[in-house]
Amino acid sequence: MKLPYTWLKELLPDLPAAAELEPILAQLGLPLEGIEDVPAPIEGVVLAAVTEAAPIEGTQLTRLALDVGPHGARTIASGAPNAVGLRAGTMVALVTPGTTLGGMEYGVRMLQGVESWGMAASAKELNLGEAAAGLMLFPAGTAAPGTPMHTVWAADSVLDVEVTPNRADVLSVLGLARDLAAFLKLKLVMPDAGPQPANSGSKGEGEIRVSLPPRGLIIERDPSRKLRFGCDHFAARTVSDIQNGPSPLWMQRRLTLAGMRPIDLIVDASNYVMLELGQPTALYDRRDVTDDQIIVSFGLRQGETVRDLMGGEHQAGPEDLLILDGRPVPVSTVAEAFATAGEVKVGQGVLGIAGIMGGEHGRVRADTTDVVIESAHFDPVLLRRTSTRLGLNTDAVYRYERGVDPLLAPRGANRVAGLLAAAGGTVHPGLTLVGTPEVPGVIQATGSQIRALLGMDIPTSEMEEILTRLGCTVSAEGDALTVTPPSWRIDMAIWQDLAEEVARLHGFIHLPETLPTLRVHASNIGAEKEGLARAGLRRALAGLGAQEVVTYTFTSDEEAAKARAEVPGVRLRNPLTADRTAMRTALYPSLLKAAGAHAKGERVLIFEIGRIFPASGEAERVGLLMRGDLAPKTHQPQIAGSFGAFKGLLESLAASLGAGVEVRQLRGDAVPTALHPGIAGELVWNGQSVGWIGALHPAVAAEFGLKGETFLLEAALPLPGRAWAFRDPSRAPAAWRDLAVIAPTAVSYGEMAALLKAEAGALLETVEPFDVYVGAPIPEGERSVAVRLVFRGEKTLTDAEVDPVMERLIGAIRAQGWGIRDK
Amino acid sequence: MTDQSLQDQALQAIAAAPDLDALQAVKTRYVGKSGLVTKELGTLGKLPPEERKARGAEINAVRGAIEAALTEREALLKQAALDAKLASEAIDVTLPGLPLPAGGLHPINRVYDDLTAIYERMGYAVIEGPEVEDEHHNFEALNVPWYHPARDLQDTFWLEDGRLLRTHTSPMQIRYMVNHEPALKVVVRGKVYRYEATDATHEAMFHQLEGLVVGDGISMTDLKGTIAEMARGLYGPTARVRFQPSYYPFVEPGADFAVWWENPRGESKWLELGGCGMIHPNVFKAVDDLREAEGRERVYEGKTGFAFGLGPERIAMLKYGIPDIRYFYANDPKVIGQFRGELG
Repeated sequence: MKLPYTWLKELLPDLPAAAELEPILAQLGLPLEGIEDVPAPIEGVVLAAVTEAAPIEGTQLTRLALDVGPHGARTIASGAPNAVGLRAGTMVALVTPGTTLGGMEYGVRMLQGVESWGMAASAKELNLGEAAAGLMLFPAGTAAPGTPMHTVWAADSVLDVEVTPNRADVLSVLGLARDLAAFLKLKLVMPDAGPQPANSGSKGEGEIRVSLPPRGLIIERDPSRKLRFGCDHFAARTVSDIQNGPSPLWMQRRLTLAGMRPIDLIVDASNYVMLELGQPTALYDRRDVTDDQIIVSFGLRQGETVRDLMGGEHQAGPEDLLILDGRPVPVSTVAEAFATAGEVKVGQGVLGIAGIMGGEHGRVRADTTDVVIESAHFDPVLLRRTSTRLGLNTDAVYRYERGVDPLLAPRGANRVAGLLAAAGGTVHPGLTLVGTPEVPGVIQATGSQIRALLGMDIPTSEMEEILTRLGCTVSAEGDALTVTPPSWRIDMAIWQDLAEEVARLHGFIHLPETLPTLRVHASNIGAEKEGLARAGLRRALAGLGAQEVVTYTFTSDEEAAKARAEVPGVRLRNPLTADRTAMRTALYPSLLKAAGAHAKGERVLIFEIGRIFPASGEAERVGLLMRGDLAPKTHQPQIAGSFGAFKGLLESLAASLGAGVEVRQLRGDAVPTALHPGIAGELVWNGQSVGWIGALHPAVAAEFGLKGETFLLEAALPLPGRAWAFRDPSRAPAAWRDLAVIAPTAVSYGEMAALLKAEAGALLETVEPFDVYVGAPIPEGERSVAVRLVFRGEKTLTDAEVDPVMERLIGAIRAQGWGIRDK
Repeated sequence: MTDQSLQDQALQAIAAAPDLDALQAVKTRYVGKSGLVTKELGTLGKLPPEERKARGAEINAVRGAIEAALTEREALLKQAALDAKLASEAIDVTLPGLPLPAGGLHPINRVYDDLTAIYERMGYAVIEGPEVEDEHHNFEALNVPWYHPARDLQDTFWLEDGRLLRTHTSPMQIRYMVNHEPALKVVVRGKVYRYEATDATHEAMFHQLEGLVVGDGISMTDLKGTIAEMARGLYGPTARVRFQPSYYPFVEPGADFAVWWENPRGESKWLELGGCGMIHPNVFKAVDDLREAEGRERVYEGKTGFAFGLGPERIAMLKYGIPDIRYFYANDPKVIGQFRGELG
């Protein structure tokens, strides 16, 4: 929220200098996003009164005859749309000849036969505001013609305050002033209250009759099933005989500094009050408020078209709160609306979408003289829902959805009326005020409760004093506090809110530092185990020589198809880019992309631990990828990257983690489609299948632009553990036997070894292959695998013990239809 | 031959022996079983007893001199042989070794590990949780109802099935509390997502570290002390912590914390690192409601606790001078491969 320092200073005469405010506001939880020094208009810009405005025939230009005071009577030609038909007396900001602005010196020129003496400027041209809405225009009599503008439009500092969603109360100059006054113990000067209504205290006696919707709409999605009140406070006041036109210079200056664009007197007065008090108001042309009646009602039917004052069309419905005029519409509740829907002409009498935007009907025009001021309190939840659905974000609804002071409505109406009266309007003495607003309820707390939560030793009396300064009504009885927050602090609801306010005004900087002393409940014991295992795996992989990567978890159908991964099922409703439309279903496509970040021919050894989102549910995976040589060639020969080298890394990893690892040959349909059909295995960790290992299918490699072999594995986490028991190593010497098994090539070594281990029993310590041979005299389609079997027992083994085992093994081999190769 | 000439001759042969084999031959010739000196000793028996002793001493003196020379020469030749062998084995050690791969951790996990090490020292368990969440855990149970403007602070990736990508690690507060009883101390690490266009400081995917402590009588000073402990662990003993009021719907009171960093490589300054606060009673209530729905006891009413959250990317960028958040997930080996060893 932007606001000029001097406006704040008007309410807080003893406010410290602008440069000192940053740390003060930060301590209040209102950090400054910035503070900008906005200079006054440069010298050479003066105010000039229009004496005549006439179109220049055959052009888009307007000839303005000007009274420039000491500079005499001058003329200019202007192409600004709002120069057309200017009333005599209206004042413009004139850049006098000889003035340099934006690197350009203005002079006297002939334009379409008109001597153009300098230039009438827009706010943007004078570096006063961002919006270029045509010429800056001021009411007649703003200043004597020829007055240098910088003497009436002073330099200022603009504070840009970051306001969190809970602090609706500081979304105004008054609100910020109130908080600063409470913190710094400053005197607060309230802004002018406006003309007090003659009927002050009684209700419903203004010129406008207002009816509110009955309470009781429940929104289907709202889990609290709370009755939404719609509108619980509505003030209406009328002002007539207004001459609409530019608003006063001082008002335009403040609006401009606050980042708003001046429009005209009536609209500016409404915006000014919103910035000053935080109360949004809507001003309607009274000619459109049929029968001087306003009906606040939910939309009459689904898809009712409402045209807003900017020309946009919106489809409102029975859950959207609308402002209707008194056109004969015989309904004011949703139920009635549906019952009589056929008879109602939709959209016609809609003055606006409550609290969000006014309608085209009721809109203030240049010739508007009589207005109806609406100053109301609407349901924040209903308004937020409507604004979100219609995509209408206005300054008004921004405040309503955060929470406007429910009691502020009459003050807002009176203040607007006062500003219009000051500009020549006639305010009707009566004020219509209906509704019973809901205000913050009483909060019970104790000083010790608050001290315990904060850990700060603040006396209850100081708490009482702080809360009182914030506008609360506090009654203290011993340690007990009964607190009624002020109507503008709708965020204060529970005693913890009081604790925050006490700490905030006492000062967070006084918060001491201690450490919690607690003994965790037994249910938490062991919660760290998965994390420790993950950290251990991560370090073991890095220790093997692999670089960890962290990749995006997003994917797309196209990418999943390229990688031959499962089609993504977890899909984004609102993707940012076409390549990130869903969540990945496997880890390896991410690794393939990361491998692509490496230079051509470079060795790649990377791993990732991350989450995937397949149809079976979110899961955690570890993936490892290797490309290129394990050790590239230098003056020494390379160690080529092969499946064997890659599997060796896996075995080394398992050994360092104390796990047993096994790879079972996958064939045919069991091979993951991303893998080479002949180089693929099931990864078995401590006896459980956890994933796969293999070489990337060349077709997939080509899709990812990867040339040469790529080896991959992917396994589910957490990896299964094993039962652990200390084994005292046997000191007895080993006995060994060699055996060459001849089997069809389709029989994997793993299958042979599994058979041998199963048959040999406890004496067999290890099986290691030492020769694999294909060729004569081994028959075609078969191969010989020679293994060394190492046996060990409690004591030295004798042939009498080993030989029967060997006979058993040979028998088992033959039973498979395999052979034994003689020595 | 006289004793002297025998000795001279032997010593000459010893000195001339070029290698250990030649020396062995000399040894055999003079002091071997049938060597010349040995034979001479054999003649002692033929001498009269009164001469024997003197003659024996003379021959043994010759033998002693020869054996001493042999030992000396043998040692010399052995050393020479070893020197020659070693010389032949010499290697140019300036040639590079076998270029084995060298692994390392990703910088985000380096920062995470630094952070979690501090918390583990203080007795916290490190946990992780799901990245796809439901609206209830991500928002409703954290006191962010669907209509609340605070939702605007966290632009959300919604999923077609109505779920969402978690916008913060805070849903793990709910999940952990539902499954465990107080008192408890945990930190959560993991990815979070925001519907945000990517630029040098914004990413649609980033990481958070979330802390959660619940017990009896946990106070806001405990929170500040805990953050200060982390700050000193991260930035050294001169680090100080500053709290300023802020708003997060799931805490009350809420604060933003900044750490005073004595930057060894640049300007020292306050670093805005994250948000924190005392857990809102509505969060405890939502947890107890979920527990009750699962048939478990309500155990959180009347407890107090704190939570905090911060982003490791921001810490890594500030601490290591990484200029662009997109560097983290581009996985350029020249970038992420730098974060090895002591990073200071």
